[in-house]
Amino acid sequence: MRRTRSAGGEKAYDAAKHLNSIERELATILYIAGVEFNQISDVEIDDIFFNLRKSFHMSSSTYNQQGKPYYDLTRKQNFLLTNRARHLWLERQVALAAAQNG
Amino acid sequence: MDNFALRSAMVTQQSSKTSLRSGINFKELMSELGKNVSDYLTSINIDKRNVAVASLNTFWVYELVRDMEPEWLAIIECEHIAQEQILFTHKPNSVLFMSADMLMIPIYKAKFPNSTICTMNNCYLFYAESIIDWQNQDDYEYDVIDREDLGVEKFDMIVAWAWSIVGSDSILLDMVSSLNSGGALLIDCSNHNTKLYREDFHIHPYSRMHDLLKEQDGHTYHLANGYGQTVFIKN
Repeated sequence: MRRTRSAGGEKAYDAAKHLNSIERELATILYIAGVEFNQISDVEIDDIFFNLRKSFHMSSSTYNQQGKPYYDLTRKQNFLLTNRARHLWLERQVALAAAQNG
Repeated sequence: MDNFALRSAMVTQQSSKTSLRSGINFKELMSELGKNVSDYLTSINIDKRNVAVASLNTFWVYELVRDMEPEWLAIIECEHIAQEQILFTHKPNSVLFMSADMLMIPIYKAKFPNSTICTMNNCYLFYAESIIDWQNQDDYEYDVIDREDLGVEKFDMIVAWAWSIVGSDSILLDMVSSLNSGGALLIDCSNHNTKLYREDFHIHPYSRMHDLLKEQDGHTYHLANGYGQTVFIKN
């Protein structure tokens, strides 16, 4: 729902809502990549994005944390997903920091 | 750096008279914005490996604008000039900025004080409200929507930087849904620093973005000036 930040009023940024929308979209992307968002740590998430990106450049097989190949993504799909995922990943780090700092 | 983009940007800068040179020190404002945001991103130990493998505008653009050479200044200013041109020509009564634009929002609000300004609840809004001193921020009110509101709320114009939406079909489609009839969607920097015009055109995500726009009920215009500008006008 649209909210109004009046002149001189309180800040309108809502870290919790921002984080929620990021993680919902990330979960969708990771599902296509064969990974469940809630079952991996922060470090692993980043490794997955890094490998997805690398697989696009190298056209080589990469594997998820269970040792299984990622779904057979076309180069185009891979490019689309990794670009978006990397953008969301950085946004997520900002949103987490914003939530912690109030 | 693409030579054509640089040359055309410098001529655009020299041949234009815009709000960016009217009582505003564009370089100083951008430098302050870049310094404050990049310092903040460094302070939270953001993982830069993603930036290293392909320059993500989410991060590196702030490193760039904090201390710009005149050539980069021309290119960055040129993109804002193109944005101002469309905004001032279309004169929308309601505008959604997908990224809380700390420069263009105050400029537009000053020119059209009765307009309704809205931004998305995302990291750019956080930067604007908490990390930098948003010019005249306390002088006016603005609306904020969350991701799930996109496609429901209606606007005369939506302004976006391509890097913040690319790769998400749903965001693009929801932006089109959020336009009033006759409304315009403006996507700046839509040629990925001119990479769209190279051999990987067919697999480039920005091609997908344009293909999807062309399927919608309206007209799509991609202009290859500078770093690219795409305008969709809804029927």
